[in-house]
Amino acid sequence: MKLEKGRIGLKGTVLIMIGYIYGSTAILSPGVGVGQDAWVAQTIGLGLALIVVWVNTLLLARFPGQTFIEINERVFGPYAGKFISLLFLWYIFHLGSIVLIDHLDFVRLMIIPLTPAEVVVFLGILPCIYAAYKGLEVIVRTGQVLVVFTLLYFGLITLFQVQSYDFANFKPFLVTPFPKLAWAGLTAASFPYLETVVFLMILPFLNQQNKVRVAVYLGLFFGGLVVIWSIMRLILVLGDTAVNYVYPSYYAVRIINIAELLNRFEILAAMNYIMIGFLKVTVLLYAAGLGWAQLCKCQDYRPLLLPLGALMALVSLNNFEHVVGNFEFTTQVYSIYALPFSAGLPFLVLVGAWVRGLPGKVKNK
Amino acid sequence: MNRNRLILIFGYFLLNLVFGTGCWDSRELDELAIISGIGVDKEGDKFNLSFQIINPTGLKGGEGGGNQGSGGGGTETFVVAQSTGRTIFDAVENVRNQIERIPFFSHNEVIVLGRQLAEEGIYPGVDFFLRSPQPRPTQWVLIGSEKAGDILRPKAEMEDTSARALKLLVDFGRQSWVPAINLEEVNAAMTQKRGAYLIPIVRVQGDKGKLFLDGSAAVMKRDKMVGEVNPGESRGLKWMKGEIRNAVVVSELPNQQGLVSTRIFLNRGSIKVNLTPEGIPRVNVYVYVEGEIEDMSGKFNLTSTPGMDLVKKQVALAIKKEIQSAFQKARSLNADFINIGRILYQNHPQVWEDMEHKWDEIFPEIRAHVTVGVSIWRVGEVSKPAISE
Repeated sequence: MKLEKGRIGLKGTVLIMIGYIYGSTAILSPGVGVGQDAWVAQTIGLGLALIVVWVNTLLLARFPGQTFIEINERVFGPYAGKFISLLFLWYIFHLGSIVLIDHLDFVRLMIIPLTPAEVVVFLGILPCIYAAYKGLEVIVRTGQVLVVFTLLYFGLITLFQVQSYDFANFKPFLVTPFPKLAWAGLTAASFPYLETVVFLMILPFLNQQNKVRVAVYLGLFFGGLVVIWSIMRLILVLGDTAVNYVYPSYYAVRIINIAELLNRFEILAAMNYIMIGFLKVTVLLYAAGLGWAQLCKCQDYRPLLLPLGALMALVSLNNFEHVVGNFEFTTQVYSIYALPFSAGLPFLVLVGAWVRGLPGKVKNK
Repeated sequence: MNRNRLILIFGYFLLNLVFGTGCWDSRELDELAIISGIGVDKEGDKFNLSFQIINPTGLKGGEGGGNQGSGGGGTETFVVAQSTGRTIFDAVENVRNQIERIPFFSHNEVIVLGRQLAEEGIYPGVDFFLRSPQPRPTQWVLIGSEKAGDILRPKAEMEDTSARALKLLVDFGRQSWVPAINLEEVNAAMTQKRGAYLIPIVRVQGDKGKLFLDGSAAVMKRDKMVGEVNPGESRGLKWMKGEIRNAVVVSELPNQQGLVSTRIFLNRGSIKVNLTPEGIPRVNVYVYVEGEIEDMSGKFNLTSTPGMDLVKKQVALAIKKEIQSAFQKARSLNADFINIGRILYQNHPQVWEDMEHKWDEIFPEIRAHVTVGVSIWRVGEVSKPAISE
């Protein structure tokens, strides 16, 4: 029984991984707390993540063509396997709701402040449900276009900001005490890089299963480059004041003003954030829907998307009391909360598979 | 199937149109009061806000506008509304008691802060404009010589609103005298715990009320005004930062040979902070300018290299004087608006850690060594003055 009949290409997968990683970092700019060393922290985070995702690639290589939920069930049997799958599904569901509220908070603050949150969330989740309903191939094809647009936007903004670059902002180099820097690095590894754990639900549908490792590493590496460069740009433009703003990267776009002619680009930034947020939420929603369907042995995952999406919207509205709570959670709690799911679960399953000697001889059933 | 999908997609767009832009956040142009300039004053413990609002019906028509310059009883191009409140936003809401439209800040061009506010601390006056998504972070911030409201009231002679005129004055003046600073830069400067910065001062001159922006500026420490610099001193700072794009330097030739004015159109500058063996910071300023001679009074003969060298030397001397006067003022006010502390922090973070808490004692002792390189290529159309020997 195959729930997803689509097959995706290497290029598309790498591109949506880049978009997925850049996703909420575009808005939230993690790590600005360590000032001019934020990009170092991001680099450490990327390095850590590159090591940790090795586990994911090993797991996928052991069980080609099987999603994380199916692997769980093979390794731990129906009960323990389902329990682990539930934990995983909770994580991607919750992550989806957090990403949703991050982006919709932004839209509400900057574009339509008086519109009730419920309406904005409703309008935001509907296209995600629709895209997930259309299946993986459609998500990847849409995602490719959106990510290419994002990268174009990225290059354009980089170019336009050149006049406000101040390279002295990088100095002094590495004065942050090491524990603080390491903590920031760990935070960065967890958000955004290790969030790619959701691709354990998507990479099994890669048309060349021997290229899974290539896809993971290329996606993570280039996604990481994009994030690190966006953080560096932020330091170059805003310097120490990045911490003063709720959405520093958006603010950095607002101050673009070239000869009174090229200015007010922030609507471009806002459009880009919405596009990339849509992609991230769609991937998470799709993975959650597929996961639940495989968990419950449903014939089809699509009927689950509407209720899951509705629940995601509701949870996202009730996640946090206020936007400050959201930022507090993202910067202080989230990395610790997410690590057991995003790094722990794959590791656990890999160890389980290794101990039990799976998949053993029954590989080509 | 296909038709259903179409209905679905159109339905979604319809929902977006209705709920996204149509209901709660719909703003029609004729409901907005487009604000072109804001003045913030402090009176006692209350804020007094002046809004310069564009009056669209008073604006001149397009190219063919018939009644241009009708003067006299014509409609005003802008109105000034004033309101008071305990906070800025309180005052913004209170102004709606008098004007029938919704204040709209996206096209605001200048924020003028009253002198009283500057002395008491500007942060409460600018926080709203930083926080709200409407005002631009790139709008200029100025300090009014007295009440900010009085700065916004006089009419501009050639521009539609005086805020626009003020903005253009800053745009032009920042090429030479005016240490222009925008809202985002003010916020960035306020984060510097030991540094200082300049905000230009705008005055109103004459009985008809003419805006006047000459480059004198308020010296701000964190968010409080601690003193004032004159145009020469603020230009001294700009030489060091390499910000001069179009400025005139008038220098005296020796032996009463008259004055020579040079237009400077290129300026590079760098400030280096080194440490003496005893650990005292020593500042080296390197400035390079390029210019051309625009006018000369006197008989001085410019047809020789030694003559040109003399002019260059005098120009360098004049620039050096301005730079030293900036240092002098910074030392006497004990306000580090040259940001030596920041440069020290960036290049010698350990040293700065020791010095930071006693920076106020160290800074007045710091001496600067200034090197000015001048290059003059053109002398205009006259090579030998007619009255020279």
